[in-house]
Amino acid sequence: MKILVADDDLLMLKTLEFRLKKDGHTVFTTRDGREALEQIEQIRPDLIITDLMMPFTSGMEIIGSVRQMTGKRIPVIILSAMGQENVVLEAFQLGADDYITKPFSPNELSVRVRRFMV
Amino acid sequence: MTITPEHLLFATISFSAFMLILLFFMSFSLLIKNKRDKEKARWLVKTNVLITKAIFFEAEENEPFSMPINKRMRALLKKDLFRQTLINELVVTSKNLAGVAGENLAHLYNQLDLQKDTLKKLHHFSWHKKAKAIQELASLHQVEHSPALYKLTNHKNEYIRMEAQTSFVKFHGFDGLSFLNDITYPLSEWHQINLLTELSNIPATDFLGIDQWLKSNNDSVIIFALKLSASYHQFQLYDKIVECLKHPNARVRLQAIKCLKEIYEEATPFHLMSIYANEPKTHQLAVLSALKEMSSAESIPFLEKQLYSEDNQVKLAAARALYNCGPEGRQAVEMHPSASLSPWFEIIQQIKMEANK
Repeated sequence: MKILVADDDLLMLKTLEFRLKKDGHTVFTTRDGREALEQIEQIRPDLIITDLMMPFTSGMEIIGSVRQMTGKRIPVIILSAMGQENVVLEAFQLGADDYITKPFSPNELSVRVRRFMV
Repeated sequence: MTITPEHLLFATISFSAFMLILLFFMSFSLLIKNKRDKEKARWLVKTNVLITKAIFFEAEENEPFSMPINKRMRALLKKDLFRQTLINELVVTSKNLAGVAGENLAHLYNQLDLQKDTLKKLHHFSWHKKAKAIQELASLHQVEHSPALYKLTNHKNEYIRMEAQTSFVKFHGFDGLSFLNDITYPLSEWHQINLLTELSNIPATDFLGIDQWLKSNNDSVIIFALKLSASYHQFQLYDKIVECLKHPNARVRLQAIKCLKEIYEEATPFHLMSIYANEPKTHQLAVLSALKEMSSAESIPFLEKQLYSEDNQVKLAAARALYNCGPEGRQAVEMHPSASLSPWFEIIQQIKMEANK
């Protein structure tokens, strides 16, 4: 599965990349939202994992733009900090499919990603 | 005194020499700073690799966590600055990771004996180093140091005690609030919010101690205990909360009113109405807001009386509460003798609009 991971925290990005590659996925990473939108158009990922707070374009804007840009339904998992319940609700309304609250276990993420494999 | 050409020459040479020395120092310090920044960037790459490996490290069964550390890394670990960079990265990462991955970060911290650096800071005289050390211990789950942190929960420096108190709650959950038995310094409003947020991330347990804190000599502890009672609906403490309505500190009394708004029973409106007359306006408004919540028929005559207050805010709050007391209360508002005049007309319109939302 082609997965795009967007998070401005480099170490977080490396950790997710390492785990997902270990699970056999092809992983693309980006540290800012604007670049994430470019990558979505170029690589057409099967799944997007995005942090909500990112420079230039937020995770929320990414969720909002995905279907418009690609014309297809790409599942989105949000990474959010504790206490962002309202933002998570808004993200679901925009079309997000799942969310994981930080701090989270990479094993849990791995299981959640597997749910989107068809 | 006349200025001669020699004087001018001397001044020019002195000024130029001063400028040259200044330029030299600036270039030198910039050079050192750039070197440090480049070195730090190189270190960050190395610490990230080490941390990523640690996150996914799987120790042999029944074996303690012991990651292989190469020679180059061991050499770097001898540098104080490198160790601090690694600790900083471990702290940031531990905020994002839970489960085995989070535990592994703490194991790496222990394996590399990094707590020695943290403890050095904990015993440092400057408050910000102490506060940073407390954060590091809490983020990396160093529970064995909680007795040392307990001593800091009543430190004279506000930032140190706030960090120590938050960390103690992180370590021990609700039981960690035991520091409330001993603190003599006040808990700021901001810190109370932080503690409640911290507790909201932890499963609710026995809530032992709140009754003692409601009788504390430290008024901010009583206020916090009242907030806890309201948040966790501690109905068994009802009588003790009612006693707080007579507390000499006005802030305690106000918090008690707000608390009773959350955990009221049949007699609560009577308790609130009995203190109303002797309280300042802020407290009176809080009482009216609580009575609105309770919407008890017994409070209707009292609320009707408040409609004749000279203060418009009190009038509005009383009318709101009355409107919530069923048909009888609504009728009392709408049939007010001045219902068609200002400000009554506006007040009634406002309440009707709120009720229809």
